[in-house]
This record gives sequence, structure tokens and C-alpha cells, in this order.
Amino acid sequence: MNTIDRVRVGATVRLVEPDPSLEASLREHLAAFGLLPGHPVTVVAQRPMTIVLCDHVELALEAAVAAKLRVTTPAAQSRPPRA
Amino acid sequence: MNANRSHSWAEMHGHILTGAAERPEREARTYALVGAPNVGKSVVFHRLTGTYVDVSNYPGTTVEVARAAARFEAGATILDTPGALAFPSRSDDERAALRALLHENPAALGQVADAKHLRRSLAITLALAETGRPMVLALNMSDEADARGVAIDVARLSKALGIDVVRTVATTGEGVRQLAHGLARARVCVAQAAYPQPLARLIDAVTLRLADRLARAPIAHRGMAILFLGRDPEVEAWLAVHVPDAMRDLVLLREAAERDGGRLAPVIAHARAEAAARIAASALSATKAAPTRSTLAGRLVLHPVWSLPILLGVLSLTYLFVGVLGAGTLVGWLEEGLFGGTINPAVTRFVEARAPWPWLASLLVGRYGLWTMGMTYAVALVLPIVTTFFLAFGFLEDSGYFARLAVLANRSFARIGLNGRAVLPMVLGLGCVTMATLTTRILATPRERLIATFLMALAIPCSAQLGVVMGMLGALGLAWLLAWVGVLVAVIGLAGFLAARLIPGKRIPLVAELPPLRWPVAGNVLKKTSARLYWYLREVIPLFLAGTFAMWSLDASGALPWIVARAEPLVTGWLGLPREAAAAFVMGFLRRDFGATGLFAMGAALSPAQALVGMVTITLFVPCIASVLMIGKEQGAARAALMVAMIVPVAVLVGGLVRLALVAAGLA
Repeated sequence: MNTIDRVRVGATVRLVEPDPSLEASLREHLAAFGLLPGHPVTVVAQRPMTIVLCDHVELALEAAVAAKLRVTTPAAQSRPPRA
Repeated sequence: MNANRSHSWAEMHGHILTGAAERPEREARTYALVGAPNVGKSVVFHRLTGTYVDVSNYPGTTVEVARAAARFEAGATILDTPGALAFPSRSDDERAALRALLHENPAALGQVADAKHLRRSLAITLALAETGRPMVLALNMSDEADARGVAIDVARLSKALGIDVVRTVATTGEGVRQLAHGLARARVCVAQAAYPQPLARLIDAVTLRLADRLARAPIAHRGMAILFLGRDPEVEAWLAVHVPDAMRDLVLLREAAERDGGRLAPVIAHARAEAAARIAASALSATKAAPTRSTLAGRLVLHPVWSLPILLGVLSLTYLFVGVLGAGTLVGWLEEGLFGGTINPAVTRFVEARAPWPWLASLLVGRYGLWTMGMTYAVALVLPIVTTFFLAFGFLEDSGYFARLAVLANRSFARIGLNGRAVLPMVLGLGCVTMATLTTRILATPRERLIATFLMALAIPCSAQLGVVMGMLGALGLAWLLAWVGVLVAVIGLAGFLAARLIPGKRIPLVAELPPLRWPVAGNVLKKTSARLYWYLREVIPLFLAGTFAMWSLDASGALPWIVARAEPLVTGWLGLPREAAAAFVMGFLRRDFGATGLFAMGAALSPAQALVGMVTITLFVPCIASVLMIGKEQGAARAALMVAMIVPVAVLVGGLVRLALVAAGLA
């Protein structure tokens, strides 16, 4: 399954349950920000870190978190993994 | 609990709506402003009370509950609580907000919400609804929501929640009068999250146990039960005091549920989020709107290519404003012109002609005179520097730039065990380390707070000191100033690297909201600057006078020459400075900027290399007394003492190493 750090800038994707290895406290933090399974977000930047637009609010996600935030996205909207 | 007693849902609901949450009398009512970070609670507070609290365009500005008299109701008090993203509380801010609900007995809650993020805001509304307190919802930043094509049917939302919903733009005051009106006639929110089984049954069971034991509670029994099951530490502590005999039973119930299905807080959050999403969908119509100029500017600031030139531009403009205008032009005008040329000669003549004893004249207008040193340093040297710094800082923080700086700095901060969020106290430390030490509370863990506090105490110069350094080393050339910056960055990097490995605990990755980039409102920046200047001068002037008096006493008693002689091997030998510089280091024990000013006053007596060594040493020297007291308050006396004991030898060691490097390079 794709993760949000590998989604192309400009693409809108739908969140699914985060990777189980993501700490419970971080998962709760993401939920409090509105990043919940089933919700659509738009990726607005991948550098210097992943920035998503969630309900008109921009949220910055460090790579360690973004790499565990799973999304459903058409293959065309994903980008190759970072070298 | 009486196991045979049965309670209907209506009875339990009745507790919530009518009786269980304590209601204060009409007189002397308290209203609490609650909401997520960075939604404008403090600006609303200012509008409702006329009282200024530190308000900024980044999350975590309010680190303690502020209170002031309401303008709209005689005798009423308004509380401004720290930002809370969710309940059960997890961060210190959220705990402080919940403490206010538990202990302040608010007659009504004013939820200040971000209109752009209705779904998230309503999840908090539903959590607050469970407290059983009457409330009103302020959809703040409605102008920004409009600009993004977010249209909210306020009447429909109000009907769904059963409370007043008000559109506000706190920065302009729009809707604040309606909010005040709404607070005075607030109602209990009727919307509730529907919890799944078996959690719903468990909530009922805990609610009944609490209702049996507590006739009155600051939060409705059901709300208290939900927070307890979500492991809210504040509610747990409150219950341990008020129903100690029930705790074992309650904890066993919770643990049994957690054994079956894991932590309950995520289930609670999910149920609220689903209910919030449904309500939001019924009231919200969003149209596609082109990105606003603010959005585009915000993205440019973080652009992979343009972020660095923009950062350098911001730093250069800050340097021109603080270093050149404040520390150069204004200090020159005040110190050399007004004080040196006019006021001080007149005061000296006046005192010397009238003082009955020579020691009194010496105390007032001598080398270490209360006027000629203490007041002159405080007013002619420090005041213009901190004024320009706080103006520049206020502009930048209100613009929303610092939140983006946290993103840019995150990778560097990761190397020292912190995340980019620590950039905020660190940059605020450039204004005043004492204030910034308090702001470390915005960091998520005690470990991060300890590392940030230590690094600030060690190597972050306050604005007064920064201005003095800029004035002194900047006059020698940019290379000397950059060398000083380079040494400090290296010290912060090395000390942070070691601290991150020696202090146990894990680093928390950055997840942060980026507030819109805004052009700051001039009036807000000026209010903020004047409040900070007042705070700063109230602290600085007595300390400068006390410091001057201590220096005068040491000088008059012959102790200062003795100390200078004892310190001479270190000062003239290891550091390679003139012996008089020892007096500046003695002054540095009182305040680093006081010591730096002492070195600055030596002027031409120091070579460029000596100026660099002196400024590096004094910058790394012990933090000021006020900072040490604040560190003691936040971290405990033992840690504060340990920090001071570590910092002094490090300062002297690094100063000496810089001298050796300069000698090796043929520059000293």
C-alpha cells in the first residue's frame, strides 16, 4: 500500500489506517489534527517535508510519520521512492 | 455503587443537562475560552477583556491560563486557556485547559474554533459538550474561510448543536459583541457522539458509579466517565481525591476493557470525529477557490529553492533593523549623544556639588555608579536594542513565518534530539532567555524541554546581548560577527548532540499545523512590543541597579581588585584578554548582557581577536539571574544548579580554544 510521502505533489488521496508500527500517541495526534481514515487530503509539498492540505489547513509531517501514513491512491499519482 | 439500583438513560442524561455539573450563581461568573491551538483564543480574550496576553501566529502561545475582567458583564471573569487539540488531555497545554474546567467552575465555555477546519473544530465541540457546561461556538477566522471558499450555514449548525454559533474575525473585532452576548445566555450543546459497543455500555457503567458517589461535579458524570476511560491524567487525579474508594473498581473496569480492545482514547476520538464529520457535512458547502495569496506566499517560504534566499533576506533585514539601526544608530545617539554628552555630565555635576559624602557621589555617578552605569546601560544601551528586536520579532511571529521556520529547521534540530518546534523557544530566546524558558512548555516531552532549556542557557544570547555583540563585532567587520555565530552554532550542535545521547528518552517527530502567512496588524505588533518591553524593563532595571551596586560594593571594599587579580591568569593567560576584562565577567554573573556591555564599553582597549574571544566567552557564560530562577522553576533547583556548574567551565574552555585557533591562524 502506498504511503503519503510517496504521493505526487498536487494529488488528492484518501487516508487509510496508519501503519501499525506508528506509535499510538502519534496516531492519536494525527487523529486530533483531523487526519483520520477515509478522509481526503491533498499533498502540497514533499520537501523539506511532506505538507498536506486537510480541510483547508496545511499540516507538516516529518518523514518518519509520513512514511507510515498509508493512503489509497491511483498508481499514476504516486512517485518513485526517494533515492 | 448500589448494584441493584437502576438508572435510565434519561436519568443519566438529566444529570448531565441539569444537575451534575456545578453551576455558579449569577454573580461573579467565570467564562472560559477553549479551543485548538492557534485559532485566535488570545485575540478573542483581548477583545472581550481589553487585557493583552502574548498573542502570536504560531501554536502554543498561551502556556498558562490567563484571566481578566470581562468588558461586557460587571464582575465576570474571562479565562484564556492554552490550546487543546483533543480531550482526554495529552499535552501540558491540554492538561492546563482541562484543569481550568475542573477547578475554575466556569459558568459557560466559549469555544473558539477555526472556521476553515470545521470538522476538527466540531470534534472538540462534542468533547466540550460532554462536560455538561453551557457553551457558545465562535467560528473564528471566518474571513480566511471565506477566502478559501468555505461556506458554513451558521443557522443550521446552531440548530444541530443547540447552541449559539457566531462568525468572528477576532483580529478586526467582527462578531465579538455577538460572542459576548452568546456567552451570557449560553446553552448546553445537545449534539453527542455515539460511542460503539462495548464502550457505550462501559461509559454508562462508570457514569452510574460516579453519579452514585458524586452529587456535584465540575464536569458532568458522563463526561467525567469518558475522560477517565480515555486515561485523562487530570480527571484521574481529580477522581483519586474525590472518590478514592471507587478508584480501584473504576480502574479494574477500564483495564478489563483495554485488555479486550486496546486503549480507549482512539475509539473515543474516532466516534467523536465521525459525529463531527456528519454535523460538518450538513452545515458546510465548500466551493473550489483559487489558492489565496497567503497560501501561495506560505508555500514560497518553504520552497526547496526559494526558502534559503528568503531566510537569508529575513535575517539580513532583521540584522539591519536590530544590529544597525538599534545597536548602532539609536545606541550611538542615546549613549554617546544624549547620555554621554548631555545628561550624564549634568547629573554628575549636580550630584558632586550636593552629595554630602564622597562615597555617595561615587555610588551614584562614579565608575560603578547607579546612574552612570546602571541606568545608562539599561536605558541608553539596552532599551533601543530590545525595542528594535521585539518589534522585528513581533512582526515575524504574527506573520506566521516562525511556524514555517520550524519546518525548515526540523532536520538540523533532529541531530540535537529536538524537532523543529524547538525553533520557537530558541528564537524567542534571542529576545529574552527567561521568557523563552517558560515557552519550552510548548515542547512535547520533558526530555525536549530539558535539552532546549540547557542549550538556551548555554549558547543563546538574549536581544540585549545580541545587540551589543552586533554593535561591537559588526563594527570590526562581518567576518568577526560570522565567526562568533559559527562558534555558537558549533557549541549548540556539539552540546545538543551529546545531550541527545546522554539524556534518556525518545525524540518526537514533527507534526505541525502551518498557520496562514499574514501581513501582521501594526497595532497588534506594537501592543505586543510594549507589553514585552514593560516586562523586560521591569526585570532589567532593578537587576542592572542591583548589579551596579554589587560591583560598586566589590570595588569600594577592595574585593573587586582582589577578584580581578585572582582571575588574571585565566583572563589574561588562557583567554588572552586585558586584566580589566575580569570585571566584565564578574558583571556577567549578574547578567550576560551586563557583562557584554562591560566588554563593549572597553571599546578600543580590545583587539578584534580579543573582542571575539571576550564575546564568545561572555555569550556562553552563566545565564542571567532571572533565567536561572526560571530554569529552577521549570526544571527544578538541582538541574538549574547543575546547568550553571557545567556552563561556566565550558564558556572559559571554548573562549580559550577560540583564542588558540586565532593564534594558530595568525589573527591574534
